[in-house]
Amino acid sequence: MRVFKKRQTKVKSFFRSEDMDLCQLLLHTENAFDCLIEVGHHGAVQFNNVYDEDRLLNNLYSKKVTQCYELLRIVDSLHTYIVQLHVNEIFYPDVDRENRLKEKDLAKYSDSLKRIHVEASAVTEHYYRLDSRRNRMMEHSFALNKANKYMVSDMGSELLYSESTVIGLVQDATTTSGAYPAHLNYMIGCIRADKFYSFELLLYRLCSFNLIIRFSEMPSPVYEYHYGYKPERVRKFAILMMASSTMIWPKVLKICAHYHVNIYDCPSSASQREDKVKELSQEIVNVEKVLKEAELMRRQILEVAGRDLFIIRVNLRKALKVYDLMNRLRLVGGVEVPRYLLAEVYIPSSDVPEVEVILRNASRISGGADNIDSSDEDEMNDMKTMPNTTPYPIEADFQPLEDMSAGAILLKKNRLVNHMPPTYFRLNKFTRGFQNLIDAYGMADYKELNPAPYTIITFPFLFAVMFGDLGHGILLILFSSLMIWKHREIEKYQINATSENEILNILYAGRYIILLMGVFSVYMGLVYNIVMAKGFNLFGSSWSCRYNETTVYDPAFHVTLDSSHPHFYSGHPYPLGMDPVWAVCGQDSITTTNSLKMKMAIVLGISQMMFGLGLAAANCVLMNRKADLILVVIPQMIFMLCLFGYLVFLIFYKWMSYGGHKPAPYNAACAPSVLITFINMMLMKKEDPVENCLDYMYPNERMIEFALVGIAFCTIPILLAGKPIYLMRRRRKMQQERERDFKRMRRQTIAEMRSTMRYTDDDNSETSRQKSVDNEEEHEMSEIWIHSGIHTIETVLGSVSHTASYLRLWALSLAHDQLSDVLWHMVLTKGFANTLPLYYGVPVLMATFFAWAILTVAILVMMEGLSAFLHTLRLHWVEFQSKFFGGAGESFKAFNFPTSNQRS
Amino acid sequence: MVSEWVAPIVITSIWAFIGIICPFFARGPNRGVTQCCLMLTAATCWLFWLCCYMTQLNPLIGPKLSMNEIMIMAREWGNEIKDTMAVTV
Repeated sequence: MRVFKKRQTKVKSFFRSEDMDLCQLLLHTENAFDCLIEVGHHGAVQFNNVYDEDRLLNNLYSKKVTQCYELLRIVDSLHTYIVQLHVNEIFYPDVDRENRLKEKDLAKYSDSLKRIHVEASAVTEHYYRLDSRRNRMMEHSFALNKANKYMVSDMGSELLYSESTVIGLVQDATTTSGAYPAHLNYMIGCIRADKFYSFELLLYRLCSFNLIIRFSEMPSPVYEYHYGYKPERVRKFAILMMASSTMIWPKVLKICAHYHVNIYDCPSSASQREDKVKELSQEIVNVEKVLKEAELMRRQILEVAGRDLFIIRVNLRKALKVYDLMNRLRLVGGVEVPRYLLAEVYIPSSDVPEVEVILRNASRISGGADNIDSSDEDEMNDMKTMPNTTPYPIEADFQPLEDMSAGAILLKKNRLVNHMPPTYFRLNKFTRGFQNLIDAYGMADYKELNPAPYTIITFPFLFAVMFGDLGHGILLILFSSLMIWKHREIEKYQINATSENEILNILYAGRYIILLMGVFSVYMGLVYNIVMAKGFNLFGSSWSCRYNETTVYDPAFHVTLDSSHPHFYSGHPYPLGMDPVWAVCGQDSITTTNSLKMKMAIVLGISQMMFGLGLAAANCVLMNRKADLILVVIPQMIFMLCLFGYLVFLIFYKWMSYGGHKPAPYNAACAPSVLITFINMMLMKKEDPVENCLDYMYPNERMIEFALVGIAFCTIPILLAGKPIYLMRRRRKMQQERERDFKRMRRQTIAEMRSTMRYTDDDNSETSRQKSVDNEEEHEMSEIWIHSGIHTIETVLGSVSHTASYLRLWALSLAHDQLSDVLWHMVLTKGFANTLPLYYGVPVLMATFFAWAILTVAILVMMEGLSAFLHTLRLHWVEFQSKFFGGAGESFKAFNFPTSNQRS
Repeated sequence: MVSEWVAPIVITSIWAFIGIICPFFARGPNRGVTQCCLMLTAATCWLFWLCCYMTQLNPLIGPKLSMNEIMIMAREWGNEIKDTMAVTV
């Protein structure tokens, strides 16, 4: 019995939203964190009103939130180091199950992260300092080498610059010339390449020709380290500055300081310079050895960090979410020491027992610490009650109280609330895709009929009416079957991928929709008798020709087979689908196929709209809205049946009664146009009969049509005035009964105005007070009248435009068929028909086949498929769902941790 | 007369079986959804087939064919044209 009941509950959950229970959740501060972690993993609890903008925080956990942010910052810093050194950070796909977080783990995370961060920072700083020192020595060595080359070459040859030549050059530039020869002064250093030119220009303007600068670029860029920034690779120039006087050096040094030029010592003799270079080279080698060791140590520390960093990051994000939620809950208990957190939650009714079990288990897990305390208290009780003669009864009374105070409590609330519960559907991987189509239009109201179960079949069916082709349907089936078969690999790829693939995600989410679209397209291909633009003859055509050879041999011979003669039409239709003769005769079949597809579109469209109105009636019955049922839905049904249901009847009657092989007045010449007949019915007009034909399709046709039009127009006043008058009378009755004590009507929001069914007068407001009766009622009644007028106009005009909208089924089907024909005749037939020699003809045929295949997939399957998909979506959203679906609900937003993947 | 009704009776029986009989055998937690899918599939596919069948039941006009098409039909589908004159097409 219970199993059956549970099954019934599960079955109902897709046609209408789940039953929701409004509960109060009471959590003890000692184990609230662990309880909420388990609740977040389960994902079946929605916390109400905790994320409103005006929500006051209890500030009990603000420090915890700050601490989590701080730890996440440390994690990001370590992650930056790991990325710099390309160290492997291990990814755990099952982190959500195997490494579930508990509150005690946070202390371990904190200690571990801080220790690793301190070590990593220290080692990194040490490494940076060593690297800077090595860079400076390399700069010094390079600058010395360049300066030495410059000066040694001077002494070696008189043709180049010699010291005396330089002195003379410098002296010529100055106005004052000394009597004795001056001693040459020089200085070496290194500067950043991007600053050198402004540096040189400034020195020239300041010192003119008193100073000569020579520069050379270092062979490779070096790293510069600044605190708080990433290491930066910069190009460096080694510079040599020479002057005849020492008076300008102080100014030059100041400029060098501002440009961050590193100044290095330069011995005066060549031998000393060479010794210095050797010494620097030796020191560079030593420092590089130490650098290698430092890097190894750094890498080891980061590898240890990378082993657990993913787990710590994921769990810290969850902890941050939980602490933020706990900070928003209401504190209850004592003023000095608050001990409980209170929250109002929505839980699906079928999940309440499961949530209770989860909360109990979480309380028991964290009760380990309480066990120690309980043990200590037991010892104290033993000591205290030693002289007492009855120690056991006291202990027995003490235990349950401790357990009760530590556990989480979940209580159901039964009072009526003003707002509508959230909408929740229990979905599986098959139904999720179809539900996404509906939710993109609007979320269903609570306990409103869900269009998704019916869309499972009607959506692929209407798509196939437009797309129908046996070959193209098989392609869709193959593609979706591949995605269904490889779903494990695709999910693994989605989890491990470092960037999202939007198209793959959309196609993967809709793989079952694509499968059904393919299956129904195959069926439509059988009925349309089309496979890649060609027909096939399974059951034998009903048409044949009985001419002799002499008659047929005329090349200009064209004949329309006479449908009234047994020699040409056998009288028995082709059993399944279109007769292959219509594929043979090519473009001449458009008249027949257009007629079929237009009538078929009308029949299917009106059927779907009547089905939607049936669902509207079921919705009113289930939601106990009898006034809506009698005054809104039934008049709509009568209107549609009297006018457009009659149109469907005319279509079928013409198919059955008129034919080419029937005697007059039911032959082809006398067949009336269904559309003209329908228009004449609406206009109450009469036409003169054609010669030898009747002026009616069936006896008393005119009288019946007038009666139907009259009945249809009688429903319009009911639609317009029925509901407002009913509300007025009920309000007046309520007003009289309560002697002016009436409930204030809730004003309709914009979201509710979208619903064509929702202008009910039910008001659950608890506060009711007297008001200015006349003004209030008049204003609200005017709103109701306006809404009723809009709804009536929408119903009447919408029935016409929605019926015409279904003709897109014919339009897209025709387009698909003609495009397929074009590809066949303009691409592939040219390959078949080519008369080239064999060694030319075969490659040409292969090329045309590949061109045809690629164009078939790209244009007919992809582009036409997308077009048919969008038009089917519009037919469902507007033409079908507008009959019964409000779509003004809000979805159930459970407190939930999303599945962890590589990017989290 | 008998063979005239065989095809529609067979096809209607197939869809009636799928749409009326099969829902009673649906099992599992998604029984309601399965029944709904079966009934809607049978109704929509049968209605579509019915429209296509009835439009060909009493055709108003016949197909317009050229000489080549007539010869192909005669040769491939039966009623081959037989005459004493030899023709090269």
